[in-house]
Amino acid sequence: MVINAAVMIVPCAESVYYSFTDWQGVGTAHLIGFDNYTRMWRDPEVRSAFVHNVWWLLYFLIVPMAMGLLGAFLLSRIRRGRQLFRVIYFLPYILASVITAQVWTNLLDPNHGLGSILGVNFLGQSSTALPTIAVINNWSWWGFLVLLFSAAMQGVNPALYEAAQLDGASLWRQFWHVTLPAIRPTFMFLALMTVVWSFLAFDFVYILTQGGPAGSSDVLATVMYRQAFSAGDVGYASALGVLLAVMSALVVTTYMYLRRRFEWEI
Amino acid sequence: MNIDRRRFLGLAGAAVAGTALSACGGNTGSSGNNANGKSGKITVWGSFNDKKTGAYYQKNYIDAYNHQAAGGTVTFIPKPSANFEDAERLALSAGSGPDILSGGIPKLVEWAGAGYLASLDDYATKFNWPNAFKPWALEVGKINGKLVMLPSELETMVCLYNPATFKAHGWSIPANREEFEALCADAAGHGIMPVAAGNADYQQASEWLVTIWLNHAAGPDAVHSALTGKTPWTDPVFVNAIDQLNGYIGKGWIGGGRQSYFTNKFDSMYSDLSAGKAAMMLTGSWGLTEAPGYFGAAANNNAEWDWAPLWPMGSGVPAEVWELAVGSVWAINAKSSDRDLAAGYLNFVMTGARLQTQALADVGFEPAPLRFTAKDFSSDLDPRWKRLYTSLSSATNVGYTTWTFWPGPADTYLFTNIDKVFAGKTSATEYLSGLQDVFAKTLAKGQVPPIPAPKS
Repeated sequence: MVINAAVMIVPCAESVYYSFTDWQGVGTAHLIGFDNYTRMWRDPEVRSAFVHNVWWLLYFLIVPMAMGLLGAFLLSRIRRGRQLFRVIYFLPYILASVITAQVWTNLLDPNHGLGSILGVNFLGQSSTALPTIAVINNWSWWGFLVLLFSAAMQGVNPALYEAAQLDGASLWRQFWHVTLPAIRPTFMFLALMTVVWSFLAFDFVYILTQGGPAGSSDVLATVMYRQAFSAGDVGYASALGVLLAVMSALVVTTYMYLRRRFEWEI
Repeated sequence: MNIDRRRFLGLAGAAVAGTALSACGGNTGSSGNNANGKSGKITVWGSFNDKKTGAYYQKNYIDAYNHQAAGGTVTFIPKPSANFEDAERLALSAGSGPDILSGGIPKLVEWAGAGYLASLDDYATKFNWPNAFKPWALEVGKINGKLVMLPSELETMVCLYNPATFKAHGWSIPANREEFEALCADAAGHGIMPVAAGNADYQQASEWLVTIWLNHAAGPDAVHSALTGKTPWTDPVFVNAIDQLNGYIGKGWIGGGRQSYFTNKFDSMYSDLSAGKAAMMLTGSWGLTEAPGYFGAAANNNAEWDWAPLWPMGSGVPAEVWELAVGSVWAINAKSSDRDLAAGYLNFVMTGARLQTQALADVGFEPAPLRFTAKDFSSDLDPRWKRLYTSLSSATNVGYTTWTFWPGPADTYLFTNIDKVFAGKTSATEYLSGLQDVFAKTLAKGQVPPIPAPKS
């Protein structure tokens, strides 16, 4: 508790305080009321970054989750080589993000890589930068989901699959009616965390494009970072941090309310 | 190669001795007695790209001072280059930090406002610094008339080029906008990138182009007027300058245009320059330390590089304008336990003109803006470097680099949003309107660094 207080509660409280000031990181912080929050509301950079975060959220709720479920389900159907495939799927996850980013930057290079073959500057065009970063992040991430879903699927009673097969259920119907309901707790947990993590996305964006080109891949965290450490506007950056924390808290609180309201078992 | 401007911090001889750091809070400095003011201990923080330069610095600056000093000890503490200023800021906020501070001007202006910097006026008189520095240099370090910072790492903007490429195509260094456009058109016609540029490795590289066009198209007088609050950034002279720059981006003359500018890396730019695939690079004088790695024996080719001063891009702009870039400034921590020793070390480093020029020759440390003469340069210094610094020493028309003279929030706005102009997402007028808003607020808060006159 003491550690939590020192590492989390005190900095959180200070962030909230500084979000109401014009603090530059040094000197005296002067209270300015809600100016930082009204500025955030009007700031086109923040609005654009928020939209990018929402896009990121939708992408990561759909694509890697679907890939993770599919991969785990297919793994559950094989006996030989299952462990080998698990390792292969998980390897990208354990690579440092800077290494993954550098590998993909070289792969997609517009002069010497895939970019030159396909005639697309993936990280250099406003229209493709953010989706490309998402794909790279997904490549690193989905194997982790396979592992988690795979572990959850191992807990499914095999008799249920046998019964389904006896009833003539196809592979898809077995997945939909047996597997998914059985792993619902894991699925809902990961979906919830995906929502929270999506608003905290930073590392791949910062390493690959720093939010460019021209802000087309900016997310709230990169805007916050730039305000804090480049512009020196720590008060405003603190307000952005508070915004991110509030959004995450809102998601979790909403989930807990719905769970209680509809008596979900998860 | 990365060009992280923060990596230049600490490379110059500003690594003045400091006292030992206190662990948390409290005063700076060690508890070393200061008998007769001669036996203090001070520490300085810094970072280096590699062990060789770090060892050079330790030997020729720190150890050399400690060996000859009548008393007192300088200790160098290496720090990671990333977030170097943030580490100093955190230490200062906690009431500690090194005895000698270094960083970009905008940051130290903020620290001066917070009372973290000691006055250097008495030391300037004691050590006769006005005779050592260029006239504008000490003005840059004054806040409210009080000297608190000393500039180091003098840089400017130049044109890097491959003479063989120019000769092969019958080109000469442009003298004005028309000649520049003619060269670009001809280069593009031959499939050569007229100006190699891009910001894939360093997003802030875009502000180098803004610096050049504001000073050479709008002119240093106009920039000075805007920096001192007399002219708004929305003035047509600036709109035309940014429109001109953006027009060249649109034509594909700079960085191959917006379709490739954002993914061009420094390695490929220098390589293209040496291979004759690019005609020029409009960059900072730090390029003179980076280019050699891509030319000649170091790169297993026969290519040669050279540099030329930039030319006017607008009417009424002087033929030669030397943008003043100060890579970092030095200051003494107001809580230093031995300011005399700190100032003594600063003086050792800065009045040692030969020390600085030798370091330039040996490891590429960019010197402070001193009053260099030809005899200050060692015989083994690359003559291209010597030509640069003697030109700078005799410059009469100076300009203003955005990372030196714009306050932090305004500079961040400037380099972040110019990419939106390049990408066609916003117009020059809208861009400059936003800059004016941000700049006006920082001007009102007194955050704009001292602005020297455009005529030296």
